[in-house]
Amino acid sequence: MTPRFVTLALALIVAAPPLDPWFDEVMLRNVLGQQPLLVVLGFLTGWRRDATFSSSRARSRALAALFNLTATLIFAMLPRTVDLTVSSGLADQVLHACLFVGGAALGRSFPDLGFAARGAAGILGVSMLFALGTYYASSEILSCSVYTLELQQEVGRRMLVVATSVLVLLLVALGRTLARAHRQAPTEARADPGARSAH
Amino acid sequence: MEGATKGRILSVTRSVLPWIPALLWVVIAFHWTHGFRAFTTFSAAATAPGELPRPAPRLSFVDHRGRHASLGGRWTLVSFFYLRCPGVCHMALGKKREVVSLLAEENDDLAFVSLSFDDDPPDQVASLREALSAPQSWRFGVLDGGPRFGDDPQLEQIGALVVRRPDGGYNHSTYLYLIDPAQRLVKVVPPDDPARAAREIRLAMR
Repeated sequence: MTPRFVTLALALIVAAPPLDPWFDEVMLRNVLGQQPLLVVLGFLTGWRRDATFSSSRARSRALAALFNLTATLIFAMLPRTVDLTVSSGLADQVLHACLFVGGAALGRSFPDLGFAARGAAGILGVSMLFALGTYYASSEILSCSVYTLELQQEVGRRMLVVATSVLVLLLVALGRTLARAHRQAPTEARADPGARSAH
Repeated sequence: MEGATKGRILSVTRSVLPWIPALLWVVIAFHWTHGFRAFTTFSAAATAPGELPRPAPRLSFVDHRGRHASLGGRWTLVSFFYLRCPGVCHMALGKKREVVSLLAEENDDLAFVSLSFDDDPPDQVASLREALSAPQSWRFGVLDGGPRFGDDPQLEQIGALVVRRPDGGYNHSTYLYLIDPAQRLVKVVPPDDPARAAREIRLAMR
């Protein structure tokens, strides 16, 4: 069995009963557990290591996949959508499928995404988490009609922790990329000393 | 020539196709949020019955003095609560108290009404009113035929959502609903920023 089938099977387990009602029962499990898990499993299922098509069409396709996943996640995070997924089993499963497919499409085209697009997506994701986390943690008004205010505020606090962790990971990844570029630059210069004068 | 055109159409189609799901999400989100205005089930319930101003239901209730009454005939700022509420109602009533203090003195023709949709005893509702030191113009009451939740037509018409939780409690709209003397709902405002709510109510009453 290949890892692709393993991640697909895991996604089916996460999205189907008895785990699905368990996730839906508490807002924290639903919003910060099941939904991100399905995106990650989709991403791993669609994952392609190398950028085999470096054409502008491939880059456009990768950007479209990123935009699609962002739109899906924003839609899934709307309090009204959260309510709908708990009250309607069909809507819940459709959204699960969209999150999984969105993650898979991004995983498939991720190598074609440029550094700037990945950075922008990271910044957008972290800022979305910070904004929504701050709102949920501080709001005294209930946003989701199927959960309580205490659960909503708990989600907000955890979202802020997740946002901080993701920000640290992004900064570490940025540092590593810059360090690698710094190490490669003198090597390339030594390998081709006439490159600068030739241009 | 024909082959070149076909090729170009195919190329454009291949470029555009991956963007269609993302654009579909934007269209669905626009429809789902009533034009990017209703992001929660509560705000969707407030906008679903139609554009403002719209006819308001003539809600009848037993007030804190035990007398039967109904809404209508003057400017009224209505909100909903229930006594067993663990937190949200106390917060919302506290905010409404600030709105009342900002508006009561300058608007003699504005009445304030807070109604319980649960089957709360009127004498306990009167105790809550006393605890909040409510002025004369702020009446408390219990809706007739309570508990009222779910698909209640009058609550739906005014745009208030009341959902019964499995633990017996309720999740409900905490908005302030402004009704004019012609029995029309003219404004729905959230209570979380009392100064802003008071400003919007003043504007709506002009």
